[in-house]
Amino acid sequence: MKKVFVILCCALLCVNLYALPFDSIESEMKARIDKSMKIVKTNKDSKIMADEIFALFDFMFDYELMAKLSLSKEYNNLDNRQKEMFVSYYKKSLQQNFASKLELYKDNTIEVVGGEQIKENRYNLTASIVIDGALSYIIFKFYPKNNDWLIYDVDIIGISVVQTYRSQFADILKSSGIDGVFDRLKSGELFAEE
Amino acid sequence: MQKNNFLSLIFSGVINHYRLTLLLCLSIFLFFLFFAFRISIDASSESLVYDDNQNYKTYENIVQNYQGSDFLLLAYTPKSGDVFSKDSIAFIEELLQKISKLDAVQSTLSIANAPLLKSIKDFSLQDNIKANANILSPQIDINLAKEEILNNPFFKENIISEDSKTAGIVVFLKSGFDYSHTIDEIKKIKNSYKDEMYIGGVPLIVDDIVYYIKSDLLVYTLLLGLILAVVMWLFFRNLSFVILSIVVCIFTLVISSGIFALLGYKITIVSSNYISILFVVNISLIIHLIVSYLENIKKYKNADKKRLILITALQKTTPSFYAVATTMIGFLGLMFANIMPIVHLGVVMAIGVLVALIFTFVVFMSFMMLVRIPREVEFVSLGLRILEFSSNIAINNKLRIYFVAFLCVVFSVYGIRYLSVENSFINYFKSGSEIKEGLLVIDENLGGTIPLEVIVKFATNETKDSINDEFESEFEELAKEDKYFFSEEKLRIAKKIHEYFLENEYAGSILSLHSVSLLLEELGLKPDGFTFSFLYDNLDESLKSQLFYPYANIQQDELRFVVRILDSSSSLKRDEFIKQVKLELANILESENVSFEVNGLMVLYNDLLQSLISSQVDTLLFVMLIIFVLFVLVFRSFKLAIIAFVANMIPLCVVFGILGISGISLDIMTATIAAISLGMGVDHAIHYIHRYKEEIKTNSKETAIRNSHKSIGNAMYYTAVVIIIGFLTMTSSSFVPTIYFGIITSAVMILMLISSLILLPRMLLIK
Repeated sequence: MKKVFVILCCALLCVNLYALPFDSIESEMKARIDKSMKIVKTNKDSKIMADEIFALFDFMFDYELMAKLSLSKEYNNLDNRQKEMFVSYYKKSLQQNFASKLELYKDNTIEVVGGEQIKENRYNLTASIVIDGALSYIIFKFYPKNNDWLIYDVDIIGISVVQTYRSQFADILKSSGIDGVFDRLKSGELFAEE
Repeated sequence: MQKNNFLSLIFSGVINHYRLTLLLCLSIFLFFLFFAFRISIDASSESLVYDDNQNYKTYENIVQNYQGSDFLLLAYTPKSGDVFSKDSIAFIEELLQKISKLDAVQSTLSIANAPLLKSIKDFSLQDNIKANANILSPQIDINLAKEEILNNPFFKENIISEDSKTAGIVVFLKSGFDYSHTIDEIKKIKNSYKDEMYIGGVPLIVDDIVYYIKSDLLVYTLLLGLILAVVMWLFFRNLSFVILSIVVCIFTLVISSGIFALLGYKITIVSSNYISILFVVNISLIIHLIVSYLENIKKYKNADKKRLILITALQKTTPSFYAVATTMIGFLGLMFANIMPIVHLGVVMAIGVLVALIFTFVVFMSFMMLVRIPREVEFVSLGLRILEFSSNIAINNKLRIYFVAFLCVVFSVYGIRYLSVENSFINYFKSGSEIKEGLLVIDENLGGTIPLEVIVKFATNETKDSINDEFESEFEELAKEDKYFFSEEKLRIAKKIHEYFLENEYAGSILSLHSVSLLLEELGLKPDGFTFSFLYDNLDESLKSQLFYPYANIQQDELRFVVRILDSSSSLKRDEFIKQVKLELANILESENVSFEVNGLMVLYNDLLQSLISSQVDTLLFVMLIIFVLFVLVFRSFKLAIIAFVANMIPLCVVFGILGISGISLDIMTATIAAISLGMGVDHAIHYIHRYKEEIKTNSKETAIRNSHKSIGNAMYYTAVVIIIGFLTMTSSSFVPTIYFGIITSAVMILMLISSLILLPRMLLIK
């Protein structure tokens, strides 16, 4: 299971400060992944490392869209303030998960394998990671926004992060409504923890 | 008169052409004998269901949708008290090697070959998984292995008892095999060791029931035949009558069994007593004919043999016909049960008693022509004193008789309120028997015996008000992929239901998707949707078929919970328990968007019993009404019909009252007693009143009663004695329902005889 989280965190390492034009997705991703791997190997405090890595990758992810998709149709029922809060907590949840697993990445390497435009407005970039001798894959899913491309989901060993959140949120919404979702996001219990 | 002429013509034909008749009978006998040997016995759960049972359809779907297989359980309690000692493990391994070689064995699971995931010291989880180790692997830390086995939700109460003193060996069986041979082989292997070992599991129960039914069929046929011969000899001291009785009984049995086989019916736990019942009906008919014949020899001193036989046959036609008709009605009442084996029993017995009536008369007439019966033959009235005594009581103790009858009614009403029905497999077998001991050890130490299953079906997700957005559609499509089946909602519901059963005092082993969650927790992993999706997407098929397929069906959008219920629990009231489980699950799942069904063998057998009881209650009134109408027809008097009716109902109710108070529960076999014994028991009253009506033509009421006791009383007494002895032979069975059936029916018959000899004549004296 360690493998799962290593890959999840590696995926989050790839957050970019800027959006990408289509032609530079692969090269930009490669460069930033390499930089982030160097940060991981510096043995700094994990909180500091996490901040540095997020500073590198942050704006490559469309958190707002990811949060919206994760909450599905319920997102439209939120008022603007709630939406803002939700996106903020959602992002924090992802980052917390990432920071808590940073120790696990030290001995691993992520390499960009290549990308594929699966349809006009979708591009999947595949990266590989070797954990304990086994090769696994991470797929970054991009979509075009204002002439740039942003990540709206990541598949880790074939499992969609957004889909996992959707499943969790749908169940919490059913049992304890949107307040329950906020409570769980604040508590940091969501998504995969080892 | 016309009827008598017609019958007289037929009977004369039989008597005049008795050799031809016997030859014809022999041909019919041989024809049915051919089929009678093909009759088969079926004790499987499938044999006990009725066609339109929704629960059975669900059960079939479960079998089809989930990869479940039959299994046997072996329990091993080493004398050293340590199942994890080297010797114990080596012993289990040796046992596994022998069992695995058997044809019908698919796989085995025990502490000796259970896969261990965290018992190699200083190995990561991945390395542990890669090592594919079990307790016998050299690198295993035995203490870690012990701890892992005791805490693994799939092993606990399956292959290891909670006190860790008993190890279980689960033997999974291949489908499509006849397990009988495999069970015999496993028993042989088990018996070749001196250590304390037990065997259990539903296939074993089924196999042992079949064995008991088979041996009972053989024993009863021989024993009843022997008893019949002895009793007939004691009564009549004439070899011809003994042979006649046996010939008639064997004849009817073979023809009825042939019909059973020809109709494609199988003998089941419910219908296995048909031989005893047919014997009894036959004996009753033949004794009445013989007694009447002997009376006629005395009465018509100058009549020749042909005439005597004809007179006897004609005299007994009406009471015998009505006696058989009431018995048939009793059995036809079983047809309302909607349960195939019960319906089959009803059909076959209704046909069987009709065959018995026809052929008893035909064989009696032609056989009597064949043999030489000395005219001076004197039957020994063993019960003369009893008959005289009972006629005196009936005549002289009006108030006492009515008072006792009143007390019986009060007692019955009180007792019947406590009547219960239960279907405990463990209690099917005698205490001290090998199977019962094995079932008890496994039930108490290795997680129960009888499977109860819960299927939770998730409602189809609404799509009509979903956001019509490309991203939304993309994720909705993605959610349909198998790996995303394990949503948080499903895991939460699985946990709720699993924990509900954990709290239930009657639930033993519980396996469900939540067991996988517990296993993941044991391994230090968070059991959430992501982990499940990941595992489902990455595990190989063999692991998936152990962890997921038995508990989740993605195509059907269902979860399955397999619970084994503690069959040996004395406080378990199965029907109430199932109802309570349904009610409590409905409460637990009230706010969820799911439907659920409670199923499994426990539900199927309970359905069977409840359906049997409700149909018996529903139709008993109908049977009683028809019998009453028959009484009116045969006696041509409402008063006599009511008297006969009351005289039969009181003893029947008393027996059920006794059952209620003594706490003996009715089961699948004994539940049919009411209808069967009512049908058989009323024969006494029919014969008695028929005779009484003859006597009253020329005598006072008291003399008519005394004469009836002396004449027909003899036949009734003999019949009852043979019937009671016949049913009491059932107590030699190792199958407890058969023993109860024998005792209860004998009790009904004794009370009905007493009632027919005391209460019935007393009521006939009413002016």
